[in-house]
This record gives sequence, C-alpha cells and structure tokens, in this order.
Amino acid sequence: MKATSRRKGFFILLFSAMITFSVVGLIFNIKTASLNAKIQQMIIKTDSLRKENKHYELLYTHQTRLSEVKRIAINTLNMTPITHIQYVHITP
Amino acid sequence: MTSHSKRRSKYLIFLFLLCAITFLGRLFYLQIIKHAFFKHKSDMQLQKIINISPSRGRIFDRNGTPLALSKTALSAYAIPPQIQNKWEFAAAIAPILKLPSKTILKKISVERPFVWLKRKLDTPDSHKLQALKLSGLSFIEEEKRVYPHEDLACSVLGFVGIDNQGLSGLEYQFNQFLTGSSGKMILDGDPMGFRIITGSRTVKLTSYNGGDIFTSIDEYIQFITQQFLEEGIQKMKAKSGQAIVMNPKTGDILGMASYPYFNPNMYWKYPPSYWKNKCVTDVFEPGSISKVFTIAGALEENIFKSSSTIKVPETLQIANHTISEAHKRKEGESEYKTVQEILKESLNVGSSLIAIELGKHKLYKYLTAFGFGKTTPIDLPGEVAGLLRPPHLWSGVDIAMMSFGQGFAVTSLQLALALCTIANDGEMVKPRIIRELQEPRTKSIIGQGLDMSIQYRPKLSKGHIISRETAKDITHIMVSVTEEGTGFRAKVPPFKVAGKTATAQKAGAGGIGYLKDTYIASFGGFLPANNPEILILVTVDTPTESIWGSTVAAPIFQRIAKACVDYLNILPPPTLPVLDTLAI
Repeated sequence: MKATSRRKGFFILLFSAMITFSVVGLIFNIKTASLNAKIQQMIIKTDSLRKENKHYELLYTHQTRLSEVKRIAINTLNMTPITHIQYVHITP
Repeated sequence: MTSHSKRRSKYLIFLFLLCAITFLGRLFYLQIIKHAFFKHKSDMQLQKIINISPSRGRIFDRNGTPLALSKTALSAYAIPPQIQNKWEFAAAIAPILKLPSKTILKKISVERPFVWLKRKLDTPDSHKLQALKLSGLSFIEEEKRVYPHEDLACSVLGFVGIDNQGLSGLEYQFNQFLTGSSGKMILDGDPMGFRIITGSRTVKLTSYNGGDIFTSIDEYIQFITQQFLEEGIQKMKAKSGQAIVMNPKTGDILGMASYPYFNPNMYWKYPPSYWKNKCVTDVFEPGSISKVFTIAGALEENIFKSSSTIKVPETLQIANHTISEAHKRKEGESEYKTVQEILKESLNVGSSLIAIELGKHKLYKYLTAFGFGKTTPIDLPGEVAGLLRPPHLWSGVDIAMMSFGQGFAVTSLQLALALCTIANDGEMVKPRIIRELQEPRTKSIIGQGLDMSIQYRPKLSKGHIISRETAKDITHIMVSVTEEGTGFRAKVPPFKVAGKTATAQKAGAGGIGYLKDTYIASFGGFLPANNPEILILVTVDTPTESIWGSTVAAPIFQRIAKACVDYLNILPPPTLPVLDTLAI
C-alpha cells in the first residue's frame, strides 16, 4: 500500500513537472514567435526605408545636377553669368 | 501455466524479439548507414535556400557627389500556362511595354513556365502594368544602374549591361569591386516551402555589397569642360574633340571629356564609337606641342640656352624632303632666331635644326622619358600606348619630323601628362582618376561592419626627367607663346599662362600618308605659370571653320581656364597697386 502511494506521488510529480515545462516552453515559444515576427517586420521596414532613401538620393542628385541648376538660374530666376571678376589687392 | 502454453509464450517472445531486432536493424540502416542521404532529403524538403544579391557600389566625384547610383526596378515576366487569353494579354501590355503585340505573343506562345517580358521597367510603366492585374503576369525586383547627371563624365564612368555587369569605363575596370559578392541564406520551412517564423536562419555564404569609388573628377570642372568643349566644337564645325583638366602637382584628373557625348542611361541608342574614352583610346600626331619636349631635351643637354641664336632658313632640305613653315615669313624678317623665338613662333625648321643638334638617340630618349610610346598607369580600360618607333627604324627625315610632332602618335592623356612634367618642375606625376576605393564590409542583410578603404595617394615617377632649371626655362618660353606668340587667345589675365598651340595634319588610314585638308588643332597649357594649379589640354579633330590650334583650341582652353580659376579660387600674384580684372 505504501509503495503504491509512493509510486502515485512520483507520477504526479513527474506529470506536474512535464506540464510546467510544457507551459513554460509554450510561453517562451509564443514570445519568441512574436519577437521573430517583429524582427521580420523590422527587416522589411529597413529594406523599404533603404529603398526610399535610395529613391530620394537619386531624386536629389537628379534635381541638383548642374545642367538643371543652370537652366533654372537662367530661365526661371533670370540670372546672368558672371562676366568679370575684380581682384582687389589689400595691403595687410 | 501448462508446459504447452509456456512453450507458446516463448515462441511469442522469440517472435517479438525477432521483429524488434529486424526493426532495430532497419533503423540502424536508415539512421546510421544512410544518415547523410536522408538528412539531405529532409533538408531539401524543409529548408529554403535564398540567394542574396549584393547591391552594386556607387561612383562619386571628388566631393562626394554621386555620379552613378543604383535603384530598384521591377522586371516583368510571364507565366504562359497561367495566361487564359494570349491575344488579349499581348494587346493589353503591348502599349505599356512599347513593343508590338506580335512580339509579345511570340514570347508567350511557348510551353515554358517563365518568359521575360521586359526587364528593369521605368517606375510609371511598372505601376501601369501592376494595375492591370493580369493572370500570368508577374514581377521581380532587380537593381537598375542610374547615371543622374546623364552625359556628365560618360566616357570616364562607362555603363553596365542588363545584368549589371560593367561594359566600359570605370564600371568595367572596377566591375568586380563594384559588384561585391552574392550570398546564400538557409531558412527553415515546411514541406510546402513556406517559411517557419520560429525556424532557424543560417547564413551559408555572406553577401557583401559592392564597394564605392571616389574619383578625382570634379563635377563642376567636368561640367564646364564638357560644355565649353561642345560649344567650341560646334562653333568650329569639327568632328570630335577631347579635353583634359588636371592638377599638375598631384596628377588628379579633374575633368576628362570626349565629344560627342552619350547618355549612359540609354547607351544603346548611340553608336559604339561614342562609348570610347578617346582621351586614352585614340592616338594622333601631337604636332607643334612636341617642340616643347624637343627644346626641353636640348636645354637639358646644354646644347642650347633659351637665348641662343640659330640661323633658321625658311626651308630645310633633309633626306630629299623639304621642311617648311606653316606661315610665310614677313619680308625683311631676320633669319636669326633665338630658341625662345623658335617655340614662340612655332618654327618647324628651327625645331628640326635643334633636333639634329640633339641627335636622334637623345631625342628618342627624351620623348620616351616624357611618357610617349607607353601606357600611363591610369585606371581606365582600353588605353593604348601610342606609336613611337625606336631610332633604328627612323628614316633620314624622321628626326626633323618628330621634332615638330609628326611621325609618332600619342594619346591626349600622354600629352597632358608630359606637359604636367614641365609644370611640375621636371618631375612626372602619375595620373590619378581614383582617389579612394571604399569597400563596405557590410553584410547586405545582417548588420553593419567596418568599412575598408584603399587610398590612392598622389605619386611621382622616379626622379626628374628634366632639371628644375630647364623646366623653369621652358615654362618661361611657353609663357611668351601666350603673351606674344601664337597662343595669345589662351591668355587669362591677370594670370600668366604657359602654353603651346599645335596644328597637325591628320594621318591617313593605317598611318600611311596624310589626309588632305584634315587637321587636329590642339592647345595645352597650365596656369598660373609660376605656381601651376591647373593644366588643360584641348584637342579638336577636323575643325572646318578654321584649322589652327590658336583659333580653334586656344579659345576653348581660355574659357575652361577662366571658369576653373574662378571656381578653384586661384588668386593672381600680388602686383600692387594694380586692380586686376578677370574677364569671363
């Protein structure tokens, strides 16, 4: 009788430990899954930001190219090219 | 239990044991002996290998302005088995792809699961195609090379092909460096091939993005060089032309233009001859500029001084050939000329007499020392060595011809570099088109690493080619060329310009004879003469409105020089109390 109750206690302990480990594992797994999903989202976001950055870099370079600057300066701002530079000697 | 049932239970146990041994044996075979085979099969089902494409490196000018970039573009492909009505499909996408319906229909009428329709689409076109939502039409993201400044420095940068492989210019020369290395990543997935979020992610082969290149080109100087060269060529109704702007002290190439230009974004629309960087790939006879090197040799060998007087007749008979001047001499003009006057007035007979005194072996020695007949150490593809025959292959008249730049052929870069030697007190610099190679040790997906960079420092060649004194003497004579001689159109007051004009007849096909009425007009010079900061060489091929270096190339030199002086903030030497004015 004594042996049977000891065996019962042992199995209850074993099953409790197994259930606890399973629950803890499950909780960690759930947390890891959400973290992994976040990492995935961040990778996608970084990638899209990198692409956006490239797009703006290209747009900026394209719009500030010298031929465009010259065109706007002459046609829109009515600027005229410099014709003379005067060098003035200043005695120290 | 009876003995009979005992025996039966023994048989049963034996049977179970036999089964167990068989199972264990089979398991041993599968798990241990065939382990590698089944592991591979399992991996094939559960793991997904992703190729990680590296991003192509960028090309910048010396101030960090991007000259070549990459952007993401969509490429359209068709899955023919999924297309329901091929006629309708072709008709719907043809106007967007700007291709005939028949061409598309031919492409999709195959039994393959993948057919390219058009790669690297423009953004509006890809949006229009996506909006159609056609079954059997799909897209892949690819990287597209973009040159935002269009034709700026086109011949230096070159271009890439459809698979982003460099095909010319720096894109070709540094293709491996710009490309980087592609990698592989293994992801855990289910048997259907879908990724398991919680699964492992292993980088099998790390992908490295391509490195960035910082050139010595200056965006502004390149821009004005191209603009003034184009305007000058169009004004003179010439065929083509080249211009190089260098820093004679460092060998940095600040601008390098080869007209006609092309847009590397759509290089296929231009003839292949436009793609070449003629500054390094094409040769021509240098003409009178080479008198500078003949006289430099004679001064260095102490055969003459710049003030030495020589009797220079109008013509010279040598080996059954008559050497004459380009311009007729004025009536009553003295036959006696100083060495300085010979260069200033660009006298062919005078330079021939100097070369005869110098001797063919020494003339050859100086021409090779100035870098003619061999390639320069520039990082540009397709460079040719030019043509300079050794003295034992010269005919009787060659010594005279070579003294004024005929009978040998050079590239624009070689000529600019030889002039740099004069400007740099007789020391030759190595030309530099690359300032820095920046290799990003950046894994294209995971994190950032350290940047590795290779600096290209300015380098001098071994020792002086001519002494400092000879270089100063030659510079002084070259100043007289622009102050009082043939190169007055290259003046940039208040600065002193040291320069030389050249008008050379163009050699015939295969280098045999000369073409009639076809010339190459050049001007090469540097300023300020006392402390040179920029060197410019302009070469115009087959001008028709005028043929002379003084009227065709010198004005282009002057315009580029004036803009450079203003941009680089080069100040004139203080000459109190005069107020100096630079007319642009």
